[in-house]
Parts: sequence; structure tokens; C-alpha cells
Amino acid sequence: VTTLWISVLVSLATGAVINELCDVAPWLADKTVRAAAEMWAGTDAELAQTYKEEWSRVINDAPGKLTKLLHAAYFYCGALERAARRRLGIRSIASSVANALVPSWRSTSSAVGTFAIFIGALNSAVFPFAAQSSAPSSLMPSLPFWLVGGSMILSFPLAGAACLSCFTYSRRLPRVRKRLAMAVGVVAMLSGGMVIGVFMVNVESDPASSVLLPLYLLWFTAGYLAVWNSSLIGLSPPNDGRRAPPTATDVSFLRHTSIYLVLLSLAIGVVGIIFHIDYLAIVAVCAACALPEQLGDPNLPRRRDNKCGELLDSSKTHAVFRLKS
Amino acid sequence: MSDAPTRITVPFLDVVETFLAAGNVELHGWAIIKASRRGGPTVYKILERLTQMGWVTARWDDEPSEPNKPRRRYYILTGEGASRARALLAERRPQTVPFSLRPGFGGGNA
Repeated sequence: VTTLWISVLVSLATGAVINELCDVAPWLADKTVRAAAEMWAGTDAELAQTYKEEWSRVINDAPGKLTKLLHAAYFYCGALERAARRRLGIRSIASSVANALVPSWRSTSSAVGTFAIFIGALNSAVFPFAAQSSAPSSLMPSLPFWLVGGSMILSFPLAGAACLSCFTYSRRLPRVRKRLAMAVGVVAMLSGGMVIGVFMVNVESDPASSVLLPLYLLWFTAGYLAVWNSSLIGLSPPNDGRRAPPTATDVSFLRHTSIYLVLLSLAIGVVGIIFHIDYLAIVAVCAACALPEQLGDPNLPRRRDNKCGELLDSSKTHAVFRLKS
Repeated sequence: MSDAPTRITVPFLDVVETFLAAGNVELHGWAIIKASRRGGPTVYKILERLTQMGWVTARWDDEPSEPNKPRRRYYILTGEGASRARALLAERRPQTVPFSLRPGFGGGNA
């Protein structure tokens, strides 16, 4: 009987909520679409006013109540995308994702952040497998578990930070956010290093780890070296006016370094394949793919807002720059 | 003088086709969204492009039939815009070019 009453009450409450929502929907849709118009227009107040009235009428013309809300939400999403593009100076979400994954060497903080994300996130994915494959020890259920878990949890905000570090391209962003991107990136790297440290503790209990560990360390060293290189040489864009554009010597050095690091990563990948350590191979191949972009081949397509070079050619998808010497 | 479209997409053609199908009739936002079966933001992006290209002109409804509601904004192809749109559709969608008895001088929609 209690279940019956509960179900009756729930159905009544649900009906009332839906009914209320239907009545509120047009009002909410109007508010949403007006907010969307403002976001769409940006600083153009006249356009915002025009679209506020026009879209409000469009929503008014849409049949149904919830349909109005759906259309308003669609307008809002469109405006959000447009505002994001305008703010970040990007052409499309796809290109922003591509830039987040493969940023160029122009921004040191971007390079550091992305490398850190790359390493940290892959660590998060790799080490649970490693932990599972290793023999249980007194440490396994407690500290490593939490560290691996913490690393995984970190990977989520770090994924966001990858985008943030990509956004450091934009000169419109305040310096605080650039610093934040870099700080988060450093945290990612430290967390990765911490997990490695824990893994070292576990080596004694797992003979297979003794094979894996040097490879991980090698790969990590490569990553750290890459970041160190890009930071040391200062391939930051002169967007803050404090760093000079890279010279031809810098670029040449970086190109050679990137080749060595790619070869190193590929060697680790080969070892991973030979020893049937699939995830290691995947990580190494990913690193090999990311490194040349990361370290910068001046002939690779660059973003439009690169102030280090002269714009040679631009298209909808990429822009080619010649470095200023 | 109207410009040529720099990027022709399927939604762009849909919207252009909607205008051509309407002939001399002015279309408001919801009518375009409904007829082209495209989302609001998509349609308005294209309308902005068409307006910048000079293919389409817009005007407010000065005498709204429903005074308590926000005004509608009406869009219509310009003469040159109509002829260019017709040529574009003939090139891209030859089977769907709307048949019209109107003479094609100046695009017919001026």
C-alpha cells in the first residue's frame, strides 16, 4: 500500500512539475535567446539589440512550449560557440582541439602545459595497468592505489588545462590564466613523477617492473628534456614583450633535438612492441608523433596569430609563417 | 555589387534554395528556419554572410500585425543576389533549381 501511495504521489508531483515547466518554458526560452543574442553579438551593442528582438520573435513563432525552449537552447549553444571562437581567436572547435593536442613551440607555457598534460594523462591511463600487472605487496592496496587514483583524477582538470595552455596563444587572455596553465602543467608533471616514484618502490615485488621502469624513466626523461629545452631556449612568443623570437640557431638546435627525441621515443616503442608491452608502445608512438610539432619545425603550419614570423600563406585551415631572423 | 561566396556548404545552399523558392515573398527568421530545416544559429550565420555579400537585404516589420509581440525582421534576395543564387544552385544542385515563369532579367526579385 505504501508503494502504491508513493507511486501516486510521485506521478502527481511529476505531472505538476512538467505542467509548471511547460508554462515556464516560453519565458525561459525568451530569456535564453536574449542572452544568446548578447553573446552572439559580442561588443556590437546594435547587433545584440537587433538579434534580441528578432530571435525573441523567432522563438515566439516556434510552435509548442518545450519546442521554444529547445530552439532557444540551440541558439544559446550556437552563440556560445561563436563567442568562444571570437574570444580564443580560433576558427573552429576542431582546430582548437587540434591545437590543444599539438601546440607549437611558440608559447613556452603552452609547451610545458601540454607536455605535462600529455605525460600526466598518459600516466593516469598507463599506471593502473602497470599496478594491476605487478605483484601485490604491502604498499599496493594503500598508497599506490591512491596515487594512481589521484593521478587519474588529476588528468581530468589537466585535460581542461591542456586547452587552457593552448589558449595561451591568445594575447587577449590575462597573464594570470597563462600562469595558471603553466602551474597546472607543472602539477601534472610532478604527479607523474610521483607515480613513477611509487612504481620504483614496487619494483622489488615485481620482476617485470624492473624491465619496465628504465623504459618509463627514459621516456619521462625525454619528455622532461623536451620541456626543458623549449623553456630554456625561450621559444615563447613575444606576446608579452619579454622574449625575443627564436633565432635560426635555436630552431636548428631544436630540430636536431626533436629528431633525437623522436628516435628515442620510437626506440622505446619498438622495445614495447618486442616485449608485448602494448601500452608502452602506444605511449612512445604518441610521444614520437607529438614531439616534432611540440619542438617546432618552422615549416609546419602555424597559427595565424604567430608574431614570431611573417605570414607567407594562409588558408581556412592553416597559415604558413617564415621565421623572423 | 555583390560578392561571391567564399565557402559554399550544404546549409548555405539550403537557405539560398529557400529564398529562391519563396520568390518575391519576404521571409522572416522562423520561416527560413522551418523551410530550410536548419538550426537557428546555422541559418543566422548564413544570413549574416548573405547580407555581407549583398545577396540579401533585411528590414524590420514596421507595421506589426501583433503589436504585443516583438517585431519580425524580413529578408529577401536582392536582384543581383537572386541571379547569382540561381546560378549557384544551377551549378551545385541542377535538379532542384526552382522553375519560375518570371523573366530572369536582373534576377527577377529586385
